[in-house]
Amino acid sequence: MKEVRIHGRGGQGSVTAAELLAIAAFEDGKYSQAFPFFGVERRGAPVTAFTRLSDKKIRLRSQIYEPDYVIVQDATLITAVDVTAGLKPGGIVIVNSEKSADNVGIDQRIDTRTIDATGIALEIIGRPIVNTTLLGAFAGATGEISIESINKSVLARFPGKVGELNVQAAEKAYALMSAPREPQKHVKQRIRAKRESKVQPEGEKIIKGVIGRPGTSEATKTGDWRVFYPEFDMEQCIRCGKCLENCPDAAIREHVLHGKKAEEAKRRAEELEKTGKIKKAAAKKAHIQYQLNPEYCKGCGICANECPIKGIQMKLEEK
Amino acid sequence: MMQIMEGSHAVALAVKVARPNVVAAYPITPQTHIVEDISQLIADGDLAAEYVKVESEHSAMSVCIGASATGARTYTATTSQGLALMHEVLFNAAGMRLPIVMTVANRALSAPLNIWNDHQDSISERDSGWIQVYAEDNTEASDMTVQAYKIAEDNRTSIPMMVCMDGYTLTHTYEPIDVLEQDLVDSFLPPYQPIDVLDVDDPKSFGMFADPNYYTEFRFQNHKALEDAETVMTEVSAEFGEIFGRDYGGLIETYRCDDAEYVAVALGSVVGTLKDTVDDLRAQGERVGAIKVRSYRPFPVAEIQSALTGVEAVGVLDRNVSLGFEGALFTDIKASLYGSKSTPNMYGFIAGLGGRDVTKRTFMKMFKKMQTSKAVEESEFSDLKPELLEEV
Repeated sequence: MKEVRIHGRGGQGSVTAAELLAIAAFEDGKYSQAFPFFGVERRGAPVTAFTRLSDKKIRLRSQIYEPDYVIVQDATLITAVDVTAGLKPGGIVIVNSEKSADNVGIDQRIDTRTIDATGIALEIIGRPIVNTTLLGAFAGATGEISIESINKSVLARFPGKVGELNVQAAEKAYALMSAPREPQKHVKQRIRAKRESKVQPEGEKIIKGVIGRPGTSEATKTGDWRVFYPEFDMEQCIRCGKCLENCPDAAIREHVLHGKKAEEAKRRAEELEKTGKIKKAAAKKAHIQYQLNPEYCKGCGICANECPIKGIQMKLEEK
Repeated sequence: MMQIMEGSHAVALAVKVARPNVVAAYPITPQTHIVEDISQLIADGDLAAEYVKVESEHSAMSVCIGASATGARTYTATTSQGLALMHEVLFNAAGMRLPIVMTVANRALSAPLNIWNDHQDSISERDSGWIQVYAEDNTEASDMTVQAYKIAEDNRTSIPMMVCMDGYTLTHTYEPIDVLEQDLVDSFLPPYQPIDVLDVDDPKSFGMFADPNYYTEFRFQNHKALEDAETVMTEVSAEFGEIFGRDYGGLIETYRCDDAEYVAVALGSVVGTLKDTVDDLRAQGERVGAIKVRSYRPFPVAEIQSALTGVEAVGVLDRNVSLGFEGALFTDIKASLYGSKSTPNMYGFIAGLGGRDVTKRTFMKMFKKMQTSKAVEESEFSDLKPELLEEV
């Protein structure tokens, strides 16, 4: 039996990837099993999904602690999640990154393969949905599954044009990863899990049905979930506050300018208003600025969607 | 025919081939995919049933009760808080002897809020008068859905039945399923032939008032019907086996128990992991075995006795707690063995609550305790995290 663990973020299609892998294995004549571990079901939150492949019926139902293969859909997870925990000797880690295998922050002894799946997906599919690209890479790098079956399972799930583009992306990744390569590294021992940080001795114990330290969402820096970030056009902005109200992570705040800075902003806005470039509502509140808190903005794009003047553009984050 | 699909979809397809007339359900995770798939089948014209949208689980069960009393074949599904909200009407369905079939996508109960898998929801409905079976895998969940109609509608039982399947662990898992074919199901499951129906031309009382002169006898008959269900379930399983090639046997399944000294007992999907653990330990020469309790109500006392008499020790894994006592299955296993010739040492383990993973290691530790312990503590919580506990 071979066990695959997929690390991704909510919205990247990690669960779908695990399912498509299981369906492809079934197409190849194997028994397979795919299941997710759901944590918080939020776009951008770390997600784990699992697939088992076997020649015999699979009865085991526990999560996968000693994978043969690990797929990392988002390289920013490497610092946040212990992605290589339990990796079997000879195991392979496939990472979505434009960097080389030695530079993604994974233990140098591990056979790591990187592929710029985001780049391939953006180029071919036009969206940063990397799961099908990584399945092509998995087929190429491991030989556990045929690319034909991967394609078949992708087309069954996504009929029409979308499916065809996903197949193209998977094929490209397959070709890149199945190319001849240098002799592989081998780890002799199973990769140990990093020791989990101990729970604080006070405050987080459960006392009579209550956890003693609320407000922990402040410690969850959702900013590293981001693929896109919002760019505000503060000249056109009419300060209606819709972006601010609708931000699920309270990552947009109002900053009021005072004194000289406020006067300067007002003067500039009035000039623009005279030339008819901006609306009166925008000019009137020029001393109010909206600022983004990058530590918490997860790039969901709700602000851009809600903005009545379409003054917020979602831009691809440089990582 | 083998196909790969999600467990929820497999159950939806099993419901389809059972040809229900009325489906009433309220969505709740992790049951949602099942009823979404069924409503899709109905909307697409692939299942000729009435889908009644309701405002709560209490109403879902009430709709099923009304529909079933008119002679309709009915289906619903729920979990956790939804099942708890149904509690009151579950007793009505059983007391009125209506053969409603329900899937329970097992999930923990609040508080604290938890959407993950354990068995507290259905175990808490133990005394509602419903037949309760627990599936080990998605093919069994699908098979038992079709069998449930035949068992529930049998004139000897005429009792509602819930098919319990682990939330997420089964409902959200993709695996190969032996999909039931319509023509074979039609030959196995005839249309529902109720004894009594609501009919204005032939009035009868359903769910009527019963004073102390009558109430006990109603309850006695209800109880007797559940006891009789044991025979019906075994017969139906055998008939199913003849047609579909999968006979689940009686109300328990024994695994490598013949010469076993130490036997672990469990319900539901963890049994797969348990069987793998038994194989590993057998390979090391340990004489261990496993028992899957397929039916929790009726409880298979005689089968448990014959399987466990003479073994050295029995360990029971419960994914529920009867707070203030112990795991509910553990209590029943002990009661079943009361007075048997050589009572084994017995240990209860509470594990896998609220989605905490049950692994081979969990079972290894169970067997270790059975083999070495002097029975100081009979019942314990496995895999507890002391660092989260208040110091006493």
